[in-house]
Amino acid sequence: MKRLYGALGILLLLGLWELGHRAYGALVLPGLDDTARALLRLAREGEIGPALAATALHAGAGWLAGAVIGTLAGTASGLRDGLRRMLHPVAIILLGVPAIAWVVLALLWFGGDRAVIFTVAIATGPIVFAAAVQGARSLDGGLARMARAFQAPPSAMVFDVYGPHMLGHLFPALATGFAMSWKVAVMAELLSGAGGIGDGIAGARARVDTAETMAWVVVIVTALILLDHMLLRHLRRKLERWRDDDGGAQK
Amino acid sequence: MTAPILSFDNVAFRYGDMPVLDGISIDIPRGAITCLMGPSGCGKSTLIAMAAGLLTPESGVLRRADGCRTAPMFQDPLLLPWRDALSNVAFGLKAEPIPAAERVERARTVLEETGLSGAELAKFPHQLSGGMRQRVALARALAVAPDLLLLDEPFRALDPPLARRMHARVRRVIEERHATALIVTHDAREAVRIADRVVLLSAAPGRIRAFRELPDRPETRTAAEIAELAEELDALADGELPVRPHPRVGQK
Repeated sequence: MKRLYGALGILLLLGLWELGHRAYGALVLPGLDDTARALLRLAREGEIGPALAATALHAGAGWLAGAVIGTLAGTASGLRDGLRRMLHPVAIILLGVPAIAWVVLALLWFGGDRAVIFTVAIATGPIVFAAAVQGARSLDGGLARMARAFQAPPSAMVFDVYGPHMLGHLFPALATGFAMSWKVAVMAELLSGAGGIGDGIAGARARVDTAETMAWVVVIVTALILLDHMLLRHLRRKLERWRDDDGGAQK
Repeated sequence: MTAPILSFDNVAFRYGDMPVLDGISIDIPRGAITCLMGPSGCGKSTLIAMAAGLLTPESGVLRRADGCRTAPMFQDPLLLPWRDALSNVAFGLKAEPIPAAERVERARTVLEETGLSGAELAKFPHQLSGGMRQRVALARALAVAPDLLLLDEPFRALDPPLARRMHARVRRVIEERHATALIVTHDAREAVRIADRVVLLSAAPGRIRAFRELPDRPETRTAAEIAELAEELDALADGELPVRPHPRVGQK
């Protein structure tokens, strides 16, 4: 039933798209058939694979850098009040700077691939930082006391006590940051010419080829949906199994 | 006489400005169950935490026998919410250099001995009742095969028949392994059913108010004897009976 409603929602969206096309013309909004043809052409010419790989690399590397720095800085800040008071306003300021401004600055500072990766990292890092601060601040002292009383080795403290607690806070931020990293990467690629889907969109825009632009949009949206279904949902279910009333047995 | 496994010598402790324990001197002999009783806030749990090495006395000396392996059970079961019952018990064994499979097997055996088995082992703490959680915490302490069991109100959430089964289980562990237990309880009958000796603390700051070496072995005590001894303990706690001092127990 859930899938039926989902399919109905997508059909509604496609219907509105087609209506928009008929109302405003192909230049403003290409038809579904034109978009499908542009998509097939991109696939036949072998443009989708390399573009997708480049965007995945940019998004992945930037997300990883933001996640590592955000987690380390956030955890340290959560454990040390002075550090938190110092870094909290910095994170707010970084979050307040529009991603597009970071793209422009990064292009001036680095250019190319590094500009894209930097932009993704700086856009996602503060989100992970905020989650890590919350996670570290809410560490259960009782559990740590229990673990110490049982003389748990450091590896057990990390993997059984602190790790799962932190992951409970970090995972939603990491997942949000992951989806965001693809969108920011495409935007930065569009301006930087560093390859990837954004570069493809920039080329289509230069040729005023709205159908190809929409084809690239379809590619990125499909990639994100597939990643969400094949990776994030699976991970979320696995990590949050202990929160379910049935322990995830029905899933 | 063998050396005590745990010895408090004029121990005092305070949380901030609030004195919790004062002048505690007591030996905990090997192979016996000692019950700690006293009003809420008198420092019973603090004594357990000190015995577990989680708190350091503000003054006085606490001696633990060399190589003494302790296993605590706290008032709050303190189970890892993201681990199932079996893994929670196995967690207590992580300090031991044994393979993971053996840890799990030992955890399963102890859990079954405390009355949890089958699908219950795969349940997470929030899916278990309060009594079940308490049994998982007790199993975690028992699985360690400790020299010194430190149990803070371990039978509180259990119904009477189950509590009596757990009393017997703890006693068997103590006897089979020649281990020692220090148990906090508010229930004089429970103390008489399980303990060899009872220490009564006064209201905060906790001082040793009375000490009672109980006659015979707990399993041989009849219902009438249990009732009579419990009544005596309650009277001692209420100050209705004179306190009999003990050479190693009491304020110095």
